[in-house]
This record gives sequence, structure tokens and C-alpha cells, in this order.
Amino acid sequence: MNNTQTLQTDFQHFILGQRTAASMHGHLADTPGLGRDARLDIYYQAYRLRLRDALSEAYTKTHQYLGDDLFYQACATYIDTHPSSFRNLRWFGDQFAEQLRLQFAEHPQVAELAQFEWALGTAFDAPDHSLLGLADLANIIDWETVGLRTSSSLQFISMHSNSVAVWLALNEDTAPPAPEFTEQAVTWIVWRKQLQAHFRSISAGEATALQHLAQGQPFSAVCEQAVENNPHIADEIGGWLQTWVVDEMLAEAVEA
Amino acid sequence: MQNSLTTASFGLGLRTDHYLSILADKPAVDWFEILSENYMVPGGKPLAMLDAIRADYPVVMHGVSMSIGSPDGPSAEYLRDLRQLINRVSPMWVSDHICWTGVHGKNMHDLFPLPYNEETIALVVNNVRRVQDVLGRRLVLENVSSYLQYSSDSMPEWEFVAAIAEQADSMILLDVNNIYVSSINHGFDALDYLRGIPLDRVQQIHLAGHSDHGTHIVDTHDQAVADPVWDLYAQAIRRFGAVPSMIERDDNIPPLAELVAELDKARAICASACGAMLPVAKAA
Repeated sequence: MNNTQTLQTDFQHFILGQRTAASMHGHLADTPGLGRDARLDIYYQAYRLRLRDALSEAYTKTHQYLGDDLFYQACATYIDTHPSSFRNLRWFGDQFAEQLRLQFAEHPQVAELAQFEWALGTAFDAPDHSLLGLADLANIIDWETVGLRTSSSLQFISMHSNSVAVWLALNEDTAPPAPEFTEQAVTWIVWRKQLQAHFRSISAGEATALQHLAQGQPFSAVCEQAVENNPHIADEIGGWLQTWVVDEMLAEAVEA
Repeated sequence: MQNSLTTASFGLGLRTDHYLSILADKPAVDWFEILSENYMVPGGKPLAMLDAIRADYPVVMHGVSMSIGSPDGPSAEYLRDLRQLINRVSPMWVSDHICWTGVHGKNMHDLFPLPYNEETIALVVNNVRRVQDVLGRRLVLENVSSYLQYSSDSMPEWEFVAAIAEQADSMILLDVNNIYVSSINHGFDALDYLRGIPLDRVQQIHLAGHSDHGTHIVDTHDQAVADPVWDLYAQAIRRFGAVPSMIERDDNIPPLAELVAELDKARAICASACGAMLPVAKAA
């Protein structure tokens, strides 16, 4: 390594907390005023503050729910164990919910709240694409073979807690409800409609149908399977399709 | 003079808080500077807002993660996505910082200073040439604020900045606040800095606020431009002419009208400083 490489490697190790400030002393000029440790500390603290701010911005409600002490403690652990490889700070927190799941194993609603917030953020700037309109349905010639591509922003989250109710309460600046849990997981979908992230709970049958569509199965096969699983569902499928189109969950009709 | 009052222009950093005001009120701002990485995203509202604002205003692009001073230089993936955004926006120019932001695939999300010596100049010039070849345009590079100096420094910062511009044939984004911040933190004369920058290389000027910690100053961009920075800006305009100038505000962001008013102060100082450099008119 040349001198610049060595310096940058040592500096980065120091910033990440893997080396002491003393290990950097040889690289620094002895300048008047602030000492070398104090100068290094400006960078060391700024790094942690900047990443913590990024987590707080991505997980506003989780921050509110946990309060400063617990949230900042979780941030400190995450920052120490997840150095960023992203060009945009916005993506730094992609594993944060997973850490919260381990850290607050006794309180799973915390990780589910964080997972929900992250999904909203991901839907917000997911790739753009064309939208399937009701008029496009009329132009579909072969319903046996047609596939309906789902929106790139569409995500499925399985939750056992009332974290969405917590999110809604915090969003209204009201006290969050006490945690509640269900034996059976509830599936929520998050997607983008007219530039805003949307969400709703969804029945198991509708979730399976959408997931099969997302996997590229033809619409006819998706319907057959849905009816096979639950014969009473046949009457609902037309309504689902209309809702998916109006709510901008479908991108285009393709040959499946 | 290359930069005269007739070509003077004044911009603001585009911030999400101001999207709706900009679209509704069409403020008297000549152009907006976008943070490139914020729009190097797959889609959604950021790009939709950018397209709408771009329809009304010229835009310049300003990056924070190119890491032009890292031995490996910017990644091919980064340059591909940057180029894609350039094609979408058609910016007047594209800038980043003379710094390093991380090595070994990591990003520290900070603008770390480089050692000011010949070895680093060669490294940066090599990287700048590669980027300019890929982008097919000159890069504009900004001086960063700093809080430490390296034992391997062999020249003042302004000689380093000037050498890179001359050798790589790149342009300079002169951050007047950063010069002031570093001059206090390292005890040099800010006017020496201005005198060390070539007259024909300054593409843009940045203005911003800072926080005074008594023992040192931190470049925080969270308050109005300070008086000593306005004074230094006037000196910069006297030397370089009416270079396109803008105010950066990244935290504690006020309503747009407040920043537009602060920009008017830049216009007034620029006009006055340009007046000071014009030859005295002959009597009829």
C-alpha cells in the first residue's frame, strides 16, 4: 500500500472504532490549538451522529415508540456492527429491523413496527413503471394465458402484533395502544399509489393470489388455485382485480 | 472578465421541505443544486418532483459519495447511475468534493480531507480524468472544510486544489464557508487561499452557515451565512468576478422565502463587489 492508502485505511479503522486515536497520531501534523485527539474526535462523533440521524429519519415512529434512550442505544449497536456500503445514507438502515428483532425479542412489536416503516420507505422510491388501467383489461384477448405483473413497490409483511395501530396512533400524535398479539399472523401489503406509500391488511386468499401473480403465474392459474383453496372465493376475484387496478398495484398485462 | 454581472446567477440547494413551495410559488431563484445521490434512486416521488422542478428551473448536480480521492476511485456502478441521472436532468454542470469518503467498499458518509502532497495529486488527477472520460464532461470539484492536517502534507490546501484543476483540466467549486472554517481551524489567511486559486477555474461558489465551538468551527449548514463569510465572498467576487453562487442549507431548514431573501443578500454583495472591480467610467 502507498502512503495515501495506508492513511485512509487507518483513518477508516479509527472511525469504525476498530483502532484507537493513538494509532492515527503518526499520520497527523502537530498543529496549534486543538490537540490531535480532539481533532480526531470531531470526525469520530460526527460519523456516529450522522448515521444515528439517518436511522431516526428512516424509523421516525420506532424512535418515538422506544424513546431516545432505547432508540439511541439500538442505533449505537447497529452503527458499530453495520458499516455502510451504500452511497446514499437513506439505505443505511436496511438491517435495523432485524437487529431490533434480536435485541427486543421479548417485545416483537418493536421489530414489526420498524419493518413496517422500512417497507413504507422502500415503496416510496421503488422503480417507476407503467400502470395497468381498467381500459387495458378490456383489451386482454386471451385470459387463459395472460399474466398480470405486479407493482415493483408491492411488499407483503406478516405481523403478529398491532404495530400498524401503533404506527397510526403515533402518526396522529396520540398515545400508542398497548401491544396486542394474534396467534395467526396477519398479512399486510405496502405499495405506492400516486407517489405516496399505501398499506392495508389483506386476506390470506388475496395475499396468495397476488403473490402468485408476482411470481409470474398466469391469471387463470392464480384464479383456479384460489378457488381450489376456497370455493367461496370465486365471487370475490373480480372485485380483487378491480381493486388492484384502481389502487395501482398492477403494472402491465404480459404473456405468462 | 469571464464572469460579469450580466452572467451572474444565484441558486439554492433543492431540499424536500421546499418542493411544494417551489412548484406553487416559482420563487426568484436562477437554478437549483440537487444532491445527486438523493436522486440516484429507482423511482417514485424524488424523481417525479425533480422532473417537475426541472421543467421550470435549470439544475446543477452535486455529489457527496464519489470519493475521488480514494485509491480505487469511484466505482463503475456509481458512475453508471450518475450518468443516467445526468441524462435525465441535463445539468449545467456536475460537481463533487476533493476528498475521500471511504475505502474497501465502505462509505463513512463524511468528506474526509486528503493529504496535500504530490502523491495524492497524482492519484486524484488520475481519478478525475477517468471520471471525465466516462461522463464526457468536465468535473467541478469543491474544497472541503477540515479539522485536522496530516504529517504528509507538503503544500497548502490551495496549491493542492489548484494543481488538481490545472493537471486534470477540471473546474473548481469554491466553498467560501469551507475556506473560512478551515482558516480558523488551521490558522491560515483566507485571502492567501483566494489568491492561490487560478482565475479561470472557478465554476461555482458555495455559501453556508457554520457553528462556532470556541476552540474550532464546524461546517454545519444549519444556520444563516455568517458575516465573516459574506466578507470573504465579496473578496472572492472581486477576484473571480460574478461566479454563479448558491446557499446550502441542510439542517434547521427555514421556509423557502427566508432562503430566497438570504440569496438576495448574495446578489447585493455580488453587485457591489463587481462594481468595485469595474473601471471608473470616463466623463462624457
